[in-house]
Amino acid sequence: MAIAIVLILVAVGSVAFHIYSPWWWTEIASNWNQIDLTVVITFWITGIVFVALTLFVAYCVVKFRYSKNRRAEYKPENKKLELWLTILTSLGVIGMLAPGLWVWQQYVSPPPNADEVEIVGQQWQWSFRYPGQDGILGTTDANLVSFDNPFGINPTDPAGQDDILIEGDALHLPLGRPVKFLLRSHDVLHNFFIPQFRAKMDLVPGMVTYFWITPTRTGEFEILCAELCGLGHHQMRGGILIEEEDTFQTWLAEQQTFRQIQQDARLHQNRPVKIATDAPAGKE
Amino acid sequence: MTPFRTLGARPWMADQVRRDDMASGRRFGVPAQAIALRIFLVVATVLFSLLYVAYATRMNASTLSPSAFFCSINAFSRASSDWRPLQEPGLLWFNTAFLVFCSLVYLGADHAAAKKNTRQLKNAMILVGILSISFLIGQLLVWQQLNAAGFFARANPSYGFFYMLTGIHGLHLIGGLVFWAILTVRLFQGASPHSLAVNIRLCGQYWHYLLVVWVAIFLLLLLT
Amino acid sequence: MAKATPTDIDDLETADLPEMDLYHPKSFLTKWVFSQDAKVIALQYATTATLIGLVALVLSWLMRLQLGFPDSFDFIAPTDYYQYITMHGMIMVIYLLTALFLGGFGNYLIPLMIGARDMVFPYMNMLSYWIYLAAVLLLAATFFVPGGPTGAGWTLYPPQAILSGTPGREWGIVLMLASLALFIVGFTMGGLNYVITVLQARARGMTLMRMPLTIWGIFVATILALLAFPSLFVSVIMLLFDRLLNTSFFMPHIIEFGEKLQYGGGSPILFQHLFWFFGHPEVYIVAVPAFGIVSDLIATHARKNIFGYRMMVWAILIIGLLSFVVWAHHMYVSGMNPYFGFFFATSTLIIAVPTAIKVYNWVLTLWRGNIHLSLPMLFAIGFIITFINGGITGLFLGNVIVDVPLSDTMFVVAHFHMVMGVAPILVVFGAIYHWFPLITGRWLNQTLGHLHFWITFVGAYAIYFPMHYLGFMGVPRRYYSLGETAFIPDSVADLNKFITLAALVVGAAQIVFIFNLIYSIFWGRKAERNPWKATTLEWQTETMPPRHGNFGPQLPRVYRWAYDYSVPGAKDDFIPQNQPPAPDEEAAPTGAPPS
Repeated sequence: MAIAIVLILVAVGSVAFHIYSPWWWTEIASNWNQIDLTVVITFWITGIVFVALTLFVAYCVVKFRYSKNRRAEYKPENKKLELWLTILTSLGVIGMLAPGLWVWQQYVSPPPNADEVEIVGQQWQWSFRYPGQDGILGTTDANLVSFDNPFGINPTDPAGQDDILIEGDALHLPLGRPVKFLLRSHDVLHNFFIPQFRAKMDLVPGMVTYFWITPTRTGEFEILCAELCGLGHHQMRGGILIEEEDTFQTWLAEQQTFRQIQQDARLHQNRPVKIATDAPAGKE
Repeated sequence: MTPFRTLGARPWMADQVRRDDMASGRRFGVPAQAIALRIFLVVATVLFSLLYVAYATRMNASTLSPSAFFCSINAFSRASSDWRPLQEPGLLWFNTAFLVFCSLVYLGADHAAAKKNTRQLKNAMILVGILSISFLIGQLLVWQQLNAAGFFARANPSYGFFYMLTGIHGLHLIGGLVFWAILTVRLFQGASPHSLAVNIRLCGQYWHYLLVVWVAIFLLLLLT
Repeated sequence: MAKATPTDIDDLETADLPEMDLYHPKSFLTKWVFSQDAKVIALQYATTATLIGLVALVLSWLMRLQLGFPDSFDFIAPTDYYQYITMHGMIMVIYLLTALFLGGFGNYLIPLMIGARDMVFPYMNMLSYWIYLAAVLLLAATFFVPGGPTGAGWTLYPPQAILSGTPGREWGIVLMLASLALFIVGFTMGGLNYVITVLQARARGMTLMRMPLTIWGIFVATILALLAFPSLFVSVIMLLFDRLLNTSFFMPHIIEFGEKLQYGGGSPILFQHLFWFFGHPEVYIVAVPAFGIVSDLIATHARKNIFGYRMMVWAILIIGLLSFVVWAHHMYVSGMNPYFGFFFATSTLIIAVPTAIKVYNWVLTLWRGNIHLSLPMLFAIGFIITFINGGITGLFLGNVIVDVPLSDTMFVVAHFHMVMGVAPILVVFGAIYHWFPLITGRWLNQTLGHLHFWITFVGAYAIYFPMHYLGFMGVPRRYYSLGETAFIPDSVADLNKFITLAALVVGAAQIVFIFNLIYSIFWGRKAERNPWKATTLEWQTETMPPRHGNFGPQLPRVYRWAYDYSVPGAKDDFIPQNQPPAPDEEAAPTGAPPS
């Protein structure tokens, strides 16, 4: 009998925990309300099934407990019942899958007017690149990465000259404009994850991956690495700042372009050229 | 006896009970080791097919070819392929010939076992051993030649795949040689050809299979 | 060898092995160490798996200590933590669960339940165990080599797995890969045996559709394993090449801490495809035997035939088939072609249908049953609840867009622990309480058993249910410590403490269980024959425990399916499979009229 009570407690307790516990998603800061909606739909459908089945088991345990004077029913199958259960389950699955795929279609189709920003990950830090005046990110090559060219930008590509490089600072983004993140890694897999945006994607060395969002509220958020990337994984953090358009433009204008950085480097030509940087310590 | 009829049976129904009571319990009328070999060949085929897929995927990984689609729809930052075709040493043709002979000798061995010709069977088994070991030594020589020419596994992924494919194929052959050795020892200890006939035929089937796999690998190497 | 045609199959001799063909142990060494008896091999598998599983249990304690009380334990550095998670995952999934279900339960139950004297290839069966043991020892050796075991996570993703930012890069990863390759070789030997024994050595009258679902589960899982492990083998060998010979199969151009490495052009995603082409079937390799075993536990202890037997068999087969076309649902945010998401989300959610049907049928078996609340039944009910819970969170993660915010968070950890950790383990416990009298002839202590059940079931639920909510919040998995993170409130630390305490208690309950096992083997209450009044053949042996060769001079002959419980008009509420039909039974169908 204890098992029936515990099962009822499990069902009721799980629902109560869901409603009353303080642990739930953070306030959303991007356009992906629909992702939250798909989660809610899934919660309703699966939650009802979970509670119903658990209570049903509890009922059976009480009602059909062993008695010497009773025999269990002998009923190998019931086609009609099985068919109905299959149909109902399929409907439930379709109810979850259809909206899910619809939202996924939007997730993988960035709007054509989205701003491009490049995110570069390496053990264990983030850096960022804006396309600059021409709106085009210059081409890159992992072979070109050096102390003076940490992004590996192709110096002969005119599109890369005005690219704005951000290292050791937060990523700034204007409010309300769709942005497509182009993700690149220099060493191992990382994952660019901001819980408030609900979106994430792996950074894969040798490849460029992407996803897009539209920031919907200003504020400061944290970038987490969500793909195990070695010892400093848990310390691989970055900042992200969503600002009003003009604040953002002011900030962007103060940043250095690739050309300026190269010129600075040339001024210091007498310094021996170092190919390698020191191993970056994880940011505390 | 179709699968659907088997799986559709209602084992609790009286007419089905009568039918089931007749069943021997065995599903197939062939010896267990024959089924074992077939299942193992399926497993090995999965293994070699996956190596094929890996080969094809890696070959196109750094180009913009559509078969790179398994990995990404985005262009790689380096568009040029790093894949360089393998220069196949001529010795591989000799090695292929060894395996072909092996298969032929096995056909003869089947024949000898059926005719209960112990002498011929012994000769055939010894010949299989010599040819198989020659094949393995030949493959090792190819490795050595490539290595001496400066093409070790790291030279290019195509060479890496070459060492891996030949290595895994060779290990399968060594595994086969264990069974070959057991049979040959039994044969020389005086076991009758008749008692070994099934196992020798299965051994032969394994060698035919390894020949097919090797030809498939060789063709892949030649064509890419 | 004359080839039999399908028509004269029924005229072949029975599956009985002639007495002289049966392997006879002569000394202690050949009886208990180098044994070819499937029952002894099963116990060897089970013991080895349990021992290495205990190591993984201790590792989970250490991990939880770090997560619940960060900065309190000086001896747990990030290096150690990442090594713990890796070894814990790998041991639990492969070396414990796979080996225990197939090597342990498979070896013990297949010959007994289908009415055979032994496996078809006993010598290969023995070799399979010894290779498995070597793999386990190699794995355990990584704890003692310089640099320690690998800390790459159990998925061993390159490039990270073989670069210097990851612990165990020198020796740990190499030995891990070698151990996996050995495991696969050993398993293939055993797996061939299980499949062929089921196909070829069944007793007279034992058709496929008369087999208990336990055998169906183990049979299908073994086929899955035989077809899936080659994929792991390929990825392991290729990764080993990348690590030892500096090939670039998976390794692109890499600048590691400013230094350019000698790699280039490889594809890390290729590894993930290969790994998960194995990895997803692996989930079912663990789950499907559990499905089968739990079906038999429920039927026996509810004194009722399993509801929808045919549907259960079909569901197992469909799940097995589909498990090969869902692998990339582990890779929705891996950077693979995003349009794959449409296909894999659909195929994944389709799997939910046969899986749900299995759950309904278990529950419907309880309906109008005559339920003994024995320990195996309690564990079976515990399994149903945990499995429903873990299954429905699978619907979150399988649906591509819902997976985006949740993947790589604690939600995933909670999900897979619930569905392929706790749920199958509850079945393992249920099965041990069920078959222990058969294996040893003695009862496990029931009081300790109840203690074990309640702590394990309630405790595991308390560990993993709240953990999902950390995932919703966005707490990432595989974090040594959360540090000062703005969006994570302080209450999360309290929840983590609670989970850690629950984990310690649940872990301790397993120690009680191990004690119970050892104690009861020697001093447990003696059990009578067929104590559960079960129908299946393993309980119908002449002696209990069954002696070498399983059955008496005559192999059993099977006259009915495995679920003749509470047959109307029968004297007892069960009829063993090998009991010939009563004279009057011929007239009436054994079963109820067809629906």
